[in-house]
Amino acid sequence: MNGILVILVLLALGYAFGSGAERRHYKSILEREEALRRVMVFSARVPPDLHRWRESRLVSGSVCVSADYFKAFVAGLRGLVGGRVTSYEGLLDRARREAVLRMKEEAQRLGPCKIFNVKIETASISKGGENALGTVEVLAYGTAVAD
Amino acid sequence: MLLTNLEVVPGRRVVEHLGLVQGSTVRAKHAGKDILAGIKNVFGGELRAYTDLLQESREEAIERMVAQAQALNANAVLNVRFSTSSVAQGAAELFAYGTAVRLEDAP
Amino acid sequence: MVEYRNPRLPEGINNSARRPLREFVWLTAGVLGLLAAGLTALGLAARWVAPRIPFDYEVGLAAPFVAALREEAGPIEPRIEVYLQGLADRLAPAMGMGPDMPVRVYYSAEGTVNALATLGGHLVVYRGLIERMDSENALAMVMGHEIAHVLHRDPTVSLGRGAAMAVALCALTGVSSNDIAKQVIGEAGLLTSLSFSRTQEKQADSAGLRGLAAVYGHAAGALDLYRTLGGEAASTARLHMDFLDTHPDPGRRIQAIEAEARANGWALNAAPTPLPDWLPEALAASRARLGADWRDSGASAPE
Repeated sequence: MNGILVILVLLALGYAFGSGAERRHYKSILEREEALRRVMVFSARVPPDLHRWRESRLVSGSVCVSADYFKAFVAGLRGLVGGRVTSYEGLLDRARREAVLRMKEEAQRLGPCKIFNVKIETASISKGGENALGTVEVLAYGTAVAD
Repeated sequence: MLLTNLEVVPGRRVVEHLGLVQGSTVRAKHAGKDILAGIKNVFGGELRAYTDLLQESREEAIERMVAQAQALNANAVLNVRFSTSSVAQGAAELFAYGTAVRLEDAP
Repeated sequence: MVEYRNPRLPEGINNSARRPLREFVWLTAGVLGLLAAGLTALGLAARWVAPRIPFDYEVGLAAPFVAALREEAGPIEPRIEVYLQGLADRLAPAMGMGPDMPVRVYYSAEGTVNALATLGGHLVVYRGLIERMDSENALAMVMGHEIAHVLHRDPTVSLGRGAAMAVALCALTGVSSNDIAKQVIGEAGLLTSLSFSRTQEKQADSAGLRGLAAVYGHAAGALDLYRTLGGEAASTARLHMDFLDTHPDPGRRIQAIEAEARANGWALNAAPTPLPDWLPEALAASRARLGADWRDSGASAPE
């Protein structure tokens, strides 16, 4: 009985904090994406009109996020019946966009530029842990080129 | 040392290919951070301590790769790639690799 | 010259979680429902399989725990045990138990108000219960009830259900099966705390009543058990009433027993056979031998 109570409290805490944080994070992501719209990113391996650019530099951005208890619990239930684990989709979406944003912020310090050959990598850094997802790191990197 | 994950460098010309250089580091998060991360696992959100730790470690991996490149007398590393893998509970390997080259200004 | 444009992407393509709470409720309800359905099915399967397992096999399963059971019962009281065994040996054939299903009775000098049946036809009757019985018939009713559990293979059903649940839980959670299996079968303590369903208890009441009527020719004393225990539990909340804990709702069961006795023409108000004269003294002596056990104090306080 006590165990169930603890789980319910953790679920409520996870939901309250997790969904609040998600809302705030999306708001900040949208604002910063708007502010950094000038910095464009491409996954092309070689920039077109190569001769145009003079400067090039490796830039990267990374973020390490964890699911809240509520998300992990729902994902655990989902693991029993199968199907789309929607509770983690938002988490990974935010993590990727955050990593790309941080990479853009680093690139912007160079002045007006574009980022080519962008790679996005997701790694779980809680191997062997109880929950499969736990903590993930997302790294985005590419080469910023400027005139 | 010029680092890029492109295969070419705008405005420059590769005059010498010096082969693969790599840098790697394995880092464990310490217990204090782990406990904080455990608490954070209830609330969710970004684990700032981990982000910083991994970023630092990645910089160290890059430094090691650059050290190899310098030993080869290279002045740039092209086609840089990163990889992160969790090798054990609480420890992660950060790995960076690329091709060491000597560049000259294009005519 | 290449043209660069940066149009805005629509939101929510990679994130379809719109109603997390609703999903949570649906998932929880679904999983719990499936779990309940699965456990019910397992229970029914155990109920179906148990009577088809040879009794010898059940005895074999229980064999390793008999010594522990014996030890838990306390010092051996030959005279009381022989008397109880004799009572069981008269009841069992009357209830339709064949010679292939022998019942073995142990007496425990502890003050717990309880009697129990477990795997392999082993019965434990506690001093606390015997002391509260006014007649041999009342005692025979309790023992008939417990013998009926053996006859109906209820301990096997419970154990089988427990084992099936453990296996299912292991499969679901991935917890190492050793720990759970050990808890289900390993402990002799668990063998004495098997719980039976309401239906099983009702059927045991009915079979016990039939045994009582067959041996004594009437049903006197059949209600003493629940009347005495129910009344006492109500007046003294401190009492250790394990029997009532595992056999809830005495009022309903008194009605059911009355109705069955009336339907079969078994007199409930006939003169009961008294307990042997020597028994109270022997019980007191066994209690003294057991020593001042802490479990004793709770049960004997209201005397």
